[in-house]
Amino acid sequence: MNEEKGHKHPISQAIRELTDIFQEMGFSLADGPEMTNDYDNFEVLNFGEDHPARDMQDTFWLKPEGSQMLLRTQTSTVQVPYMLENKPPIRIFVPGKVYRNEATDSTHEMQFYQVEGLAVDKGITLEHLKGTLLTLLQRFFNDENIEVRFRPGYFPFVEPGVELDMKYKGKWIELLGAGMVHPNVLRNGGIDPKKYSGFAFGMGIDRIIMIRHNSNDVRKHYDGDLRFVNQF
Amino acid sequence: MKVSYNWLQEYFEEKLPTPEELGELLTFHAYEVEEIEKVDSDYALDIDVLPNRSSDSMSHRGIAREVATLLGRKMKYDPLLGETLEVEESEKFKVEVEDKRLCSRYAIAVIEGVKVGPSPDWLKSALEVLGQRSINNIVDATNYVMLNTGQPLHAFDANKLEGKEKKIVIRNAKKNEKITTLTEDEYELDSGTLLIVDGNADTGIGIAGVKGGNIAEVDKNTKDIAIESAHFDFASVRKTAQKLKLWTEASTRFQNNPSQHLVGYALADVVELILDLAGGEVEGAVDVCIPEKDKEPVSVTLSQINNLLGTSLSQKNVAGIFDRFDFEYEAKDDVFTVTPPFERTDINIYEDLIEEIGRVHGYEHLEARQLPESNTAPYIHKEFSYADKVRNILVGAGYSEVLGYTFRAHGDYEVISGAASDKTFLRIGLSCGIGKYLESNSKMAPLFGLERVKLFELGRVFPKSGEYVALAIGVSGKKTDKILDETKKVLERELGIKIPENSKEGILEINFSKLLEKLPEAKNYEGFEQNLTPYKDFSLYPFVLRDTAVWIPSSVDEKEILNVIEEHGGKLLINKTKFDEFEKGGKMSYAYHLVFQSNERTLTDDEVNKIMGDITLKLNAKKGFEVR
Repeated sequence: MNEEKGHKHPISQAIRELTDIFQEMGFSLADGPEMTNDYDNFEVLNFGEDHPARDMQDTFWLKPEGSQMLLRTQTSTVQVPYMLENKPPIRIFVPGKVYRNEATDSTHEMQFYQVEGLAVDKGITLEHLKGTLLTLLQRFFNDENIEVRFRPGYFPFVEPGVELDMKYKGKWIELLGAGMVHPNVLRNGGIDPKKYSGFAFGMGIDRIIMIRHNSNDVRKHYDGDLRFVNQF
Repeated sequence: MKVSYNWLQEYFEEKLPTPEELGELLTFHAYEVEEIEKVDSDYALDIDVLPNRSSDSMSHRGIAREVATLLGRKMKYDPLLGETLEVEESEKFKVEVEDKRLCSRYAIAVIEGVKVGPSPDWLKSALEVLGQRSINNIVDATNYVMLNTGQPLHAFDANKLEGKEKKIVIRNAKKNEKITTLTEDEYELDSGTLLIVDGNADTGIGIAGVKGGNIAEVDKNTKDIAIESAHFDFASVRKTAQKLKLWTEASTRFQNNPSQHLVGYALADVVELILDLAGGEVEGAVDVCIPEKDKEPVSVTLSQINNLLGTSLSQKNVAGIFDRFDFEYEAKDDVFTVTPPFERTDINIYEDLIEEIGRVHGYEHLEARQLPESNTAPYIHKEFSYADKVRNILVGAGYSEVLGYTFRAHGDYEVISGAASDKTFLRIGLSCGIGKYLESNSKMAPLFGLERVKLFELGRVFPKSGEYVALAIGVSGKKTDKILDETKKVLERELGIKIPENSKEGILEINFSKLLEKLPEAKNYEGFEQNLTPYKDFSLYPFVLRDTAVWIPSSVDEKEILNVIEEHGGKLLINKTKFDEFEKGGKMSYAYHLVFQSNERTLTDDEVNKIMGDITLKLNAKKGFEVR
C-alpha cells in the first residue's frame, strides 16, 4: 500500500502545466528571491514614495524597522532585475510565492502563488497581451470556448492598465490585472521606452486552480492536509 | 463611492441611458460600477473609482464629466467652469499657515446672520439616496457641495472661537495634544498630525483634512459661520487617517490629491447655496495660497498610439476622442499636443493619453493577436527542471507534496506586524512544518488507506546566512530512518549525485540550492498528465475505523467479500483497505480496515456496530464464509 504513488501539490502541477503552455509561446521560466526590499518591490516598479501599498497594512515588512526589507508582494519584483541582465527581446514567466499582510478568509491568504508574464520587444501591443492571455487560459482550462475581455484597471507599473475577465462555462469571472509596461519601469530596467514596448500580467495560481477544480477555500492549499492534496 | 442617478441627470439636457446601461458603460470604459440600488425614485450607483482617477472622479461632477465623454454629449453646466468667490478680504478673520508644504491653500468665507434649520426636502433626499444623514442646512450644504465637486468643506461656528479678531492657525499638533471630534470621540495626536487651531485659544478645532472638532460645531443657535475650503498634502492626510484609524469622506478625497483649483470653485458654490438655504450676508473671505503649477501640455503622435494599443486609428478618430473629452489640444500633422484640464492630475506622460484613447475607443475592439514567432528557443530553467524531477521521483515513491506556511514561531527574520501573533518569524528550515503535517495526517491515515504518512516539501527558507531552497522528506511510524535511507538512495541514483544530509527523527532535510550547484545544466522538463479532476469537499466530522477478517474457500474470488461489504457498508463506508491475506488448508483469509464517516454528523458507535453486524451476518450467510 505504501508502494502506491503519492500526489503532487496542485500548485506544483499547475506550474508544470503553465511551463509547457508558456514555452510554446516562447516564454522562459525566471525566478527571484521571496525576501527582498522596498527598492525592488516598489521603487523600481513606479510606486510613488507615498503610494498606499508601501504602508504597513498590505506588506510584510521585516525587522529591524527601517531596514526596508520585506517579503515580495508580487512576482513583478522580478521584472527590473531581469531586464537589467537581459536585453530585449524578453519573454519570461515567473511562477512564485508572494505575501500580503491581510486578514485571511476563504479567498484571501497571507501567502499565495502568482505567475507573472512579461514580454518586451519592438512593436509589442495591447492586442498581443489579449492574444497571449486568451491562449494561456484556453490551454490551462482545456476549453476553446473561453473568451476574454479587458476593462480599465490601474497598477503603478503599467500604463495603460487593464483588468481581464474570462468567460468560462458561460460566466464572466474577474481574473487578473495586466497592462503595457510603464515607461519608467522600462527605463529602470535599462530599456529605452522610445524603441521598445512590453506587456506584463500577474495571475493568481491558487485562483485558477480553484476555478478549474471547483474548490472553495484557498487556505486548504497551505495547511498540509492530505485530504486536500490527495484529491489532485 | 456612491453617486445618485438623478443627480447625474441634472448635468444633461437629454435623458441618460438606464442606470444599468450607464453602469455597463462606466465599467468597460472607466471604472467599475459594483452595485446599483434603487432608492425611492432614484438609483444609487456604487462606483469603485480607480486610484489614478480618484483625484478627479470622487464627485458627481467627476462622474458626469466621464459620462459626457463616453456618451459624446455636452454637459449642461460645469461647476469647475463657474465663478470663484469674488468678495472683500475678511476684517474679522486672519489665517496663518505654519508649513505651506502641508497646506498649500487655506481659504475661508465668513457669513454672518445665518438661520440654522432643517434642510429642504430636495437636499435631504439627495443625501439620503447616498446613505448620508441630514444634519442641518449648513452642514448639509457643505456635504452637498463636496459630493458635487469633490472638494471637502467644513463650517465652523465663528462665535465659538476666542477673541474679537478671530485667528485660525494651521500647525502640527504637539505631542499628546488631544482633540474631541464632532462625534464626541477623543483622539490623542502626535507631531505628525496637522491641526486646525483657534489661534487665540491655541486649541484644536479640526484634524486637517480628516474631521472637525466639537469646539466650534455649528448648532441650532449658530449665527455667524466660517466655511473652510483648503488643500492639504495628500500623503500627510493619508498618514493621519491611518494612524487614527479615522477614514472619512474628506480624508478619502484629500488623500487622492485633488486639484488645488477645486478650493475656489467649491467655496463659491457653498456660499451661494448657504445664502439661499440659511440667509445671512458674506462678511468677507481669506485665501492663503501658494498656487500649484499649471499643467504642462503632453504630446503624443498617432503612431505612438497605434503602436502601443495595436489599433489602426486615424488622425480623425483620435481628434474625435479628444473632442469628446473636451480637452484643449493642438493637432499638427500626426502630433497631438494636449493640455489636460487642471482636475486631471493623472495625465502627465503620453502613455496616459494613450490609455484615455484606448479605453474611450473601447478595449472590446482590440483583436486577440498572437505574438510573432520567437527567434530564440526558451531556455530550460535548471532549478525548476530538477525540482520537478525530484517531485516526480518522490511522488513515484509514495510521497505526497505539501506547501507549508512561511511563518513560524522561531527564526532569524521577524515581521514587524501582521501574521498570527505566535508565528511572526520566517522559517529557517522545513523540518518543523513537515513534522507537524506528519502528525496531523497520521491521525487520519486510515482515511487514505495508508499504513504510514509520507510527505515532502520543496520551498524557500530564510536563515541569517541567506534565502535558499530546501527539500524536506518525512515519514511517520516506526523504522523511518530505513525508509528515508532507501528514498535518499533512489534520489542519489536518479540525480547521479551524493546527498550529504542524513535523516533525523523521521525527516530528511536537504539544502536543495547547494545540491543544485553540483548538478549539470538541465536539458528538458519531464512530461506530465493534465489533471482536470473536480475537487470534492471532505467531511470535517470524525471517522470511525473498524477491522474485519474473513475465511472463504480458496476457489471463491475475493470480490465476493468486497461486494457484500460495499452493499451493506452503504454511503457511510468511505474507504476500505486490505491489510492481510494468507492461505491455510484450502481456505483464504482476508482482512480489511473499514473507514466510516458522514458529511453531516458525528457517527455513533451504535450506528457503526449495526452496520458491522449487518456485514458480518451477510458474510457468514454465504456458503463457506466465516468471519473470524
